[in-house]
Amino acid sequence: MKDRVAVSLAVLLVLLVAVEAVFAPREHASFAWHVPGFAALIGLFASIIVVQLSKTVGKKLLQRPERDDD
Amino acid sequence: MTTSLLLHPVLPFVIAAAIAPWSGVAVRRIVSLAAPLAALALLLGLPMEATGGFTALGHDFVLLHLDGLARVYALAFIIYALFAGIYAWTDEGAGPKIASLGLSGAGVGVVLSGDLISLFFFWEWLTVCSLFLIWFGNTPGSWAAGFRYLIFHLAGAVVMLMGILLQMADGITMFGPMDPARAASWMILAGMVTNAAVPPLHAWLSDAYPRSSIFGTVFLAAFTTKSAVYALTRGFAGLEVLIYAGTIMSLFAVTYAIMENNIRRLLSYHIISQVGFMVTGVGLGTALSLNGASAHAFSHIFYKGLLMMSAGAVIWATGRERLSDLGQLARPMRWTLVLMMIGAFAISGVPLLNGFVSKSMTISAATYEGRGPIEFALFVVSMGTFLSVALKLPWFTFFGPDNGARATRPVPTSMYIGMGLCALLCFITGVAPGVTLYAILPFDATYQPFTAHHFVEMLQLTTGTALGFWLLRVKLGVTQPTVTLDTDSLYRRPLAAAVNGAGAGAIGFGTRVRGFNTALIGGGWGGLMEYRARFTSTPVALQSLVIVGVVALVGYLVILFAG
Repeated sequence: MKDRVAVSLAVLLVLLVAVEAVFAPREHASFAWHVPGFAALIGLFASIIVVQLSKTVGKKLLQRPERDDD
Repeated sequence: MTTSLLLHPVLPFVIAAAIAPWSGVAVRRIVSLAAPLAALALLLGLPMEATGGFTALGHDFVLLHLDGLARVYALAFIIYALFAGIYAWTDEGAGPKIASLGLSGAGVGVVLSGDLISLFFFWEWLTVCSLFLIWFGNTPGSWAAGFRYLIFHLAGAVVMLMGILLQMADGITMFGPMDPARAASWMILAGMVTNAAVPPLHAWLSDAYPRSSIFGTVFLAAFTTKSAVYALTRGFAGLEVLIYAGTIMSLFAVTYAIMENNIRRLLSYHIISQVGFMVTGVGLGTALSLNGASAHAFSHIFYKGLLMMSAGAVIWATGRERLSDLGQLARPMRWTLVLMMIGAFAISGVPLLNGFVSKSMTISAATYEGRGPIEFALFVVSMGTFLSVALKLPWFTFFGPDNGARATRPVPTSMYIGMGLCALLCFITGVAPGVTLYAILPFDATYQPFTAHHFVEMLQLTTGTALGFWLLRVKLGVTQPTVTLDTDSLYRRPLAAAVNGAGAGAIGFGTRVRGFNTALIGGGWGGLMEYRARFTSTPVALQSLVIVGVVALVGYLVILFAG
């Protein structure tokens, strides 16, 4: 494996999901997404989506080089 | 219980600000710390429901009214003023010291005001002191950003004042829960959401705060938006529209922060984002969510202060504040890195720090109220906060590519002490909220943050985000200086063109008609330009403070007669 940091984080994430499922489940599931691993999924996939989205929108629409009067 | 106004916690700040112009650097430094200490002693000595004021011109001025809600904000403001004062020990100028003392006092004044006129007086006092702190920055663009700040806040103040006068015309003079059925309430709300930086009325914050000096920004970050959250809590708790406004502002600002290159502007967007949590809590209107808003405001003041202080330390040492100009500073600035990470972990809600025990109150309140989409959105915001503040900011400042930044100036001990005290408070509040933060919350609700599920959930969120960041870190890098267009780009150039056009037109008109008009109009504009050119000198700045004070006093009297 080349990227040890990514692999370590991925292993830790899986372990944390397992810990939640076995030892620390949510007391009351109020919504459909209240399942073990929800926070892990939000952290991983929402970060990828938000970065891609903000970078794309920024590059195409919102970002420009600095000017003297900025 | 009636209390003498001589025991008002604002008084030490007023006295210190009055002493500062006439004293040397050493005395100014001492009074800047003595004022918050004296104010803290006065506040702790006041009994709950202490009330103080006077009657004049047929109006009951209640300058002091202490209850649970006011106390939690006043405590945070005063303690933070002390920490920020220590951090700014090396800032020798009289003007910035007066403005920062005035700003601290105004924040305390807002939360202790009992009537609408007193509230408005301190509200505008905040604006004036903030304006001068921006101008005293003497950074590129601080003059223009200060004017944009002024225009924004004056517009908000005029609408708010009209609302207050309409309320008073109907016999409502005290500041309390507002009736949403009344148009006047919505006018007051407009003034409050302007100060809370609710989009689209937010751009003044990310525009102006990074233009101040590093010390000025540390003070600016604490008072204006949090006093607005206080006012919203007292006046508009449970107003449905605030739930959506708060959540949208959180999502909006966290997205902008990911794009931002300037470290202080990135943190400024996170002020907006975190205030969004508080506004959402106010809108939910339950005892838990209102406690959550107050608790998060208390926590936010210290962890955001710590982040702004550590960003200021980087700027102090390197003279740079763009991520594209920084990198590889971990070794020479290791203690700044450690302190910044404490602030970053706190804002992200990592266990054992204050954000963990305050942020989750609002999210839990949304869950208990069955507000699924709101809970989901706030989770996404938590992810975005960790991504940009705890990962992107320190990575590209301390570890990323070497862009030539060097720590050429040592960070003074006083700055480290200010940062250390903020970090200590973040930690103490995080490990023992029951005897610190929760003990002073104003509403009757219990909350237990230390559950196994909450721990694991936050660790999952941060680990998952760290993995996403690691995979995309190259994409997040900024290779060339860029600015991100915000709503202020809609009015910045037209505004500048209008002001310059009006000035040129006035001079042209004056030249044509000659004589008196030439002197009056052309001379007036020329005088303004001369004033602008000379503005950076302290005597002129002090004169300006006096002039603004006199104008505020006259305006105050006019309002009194109108009311």
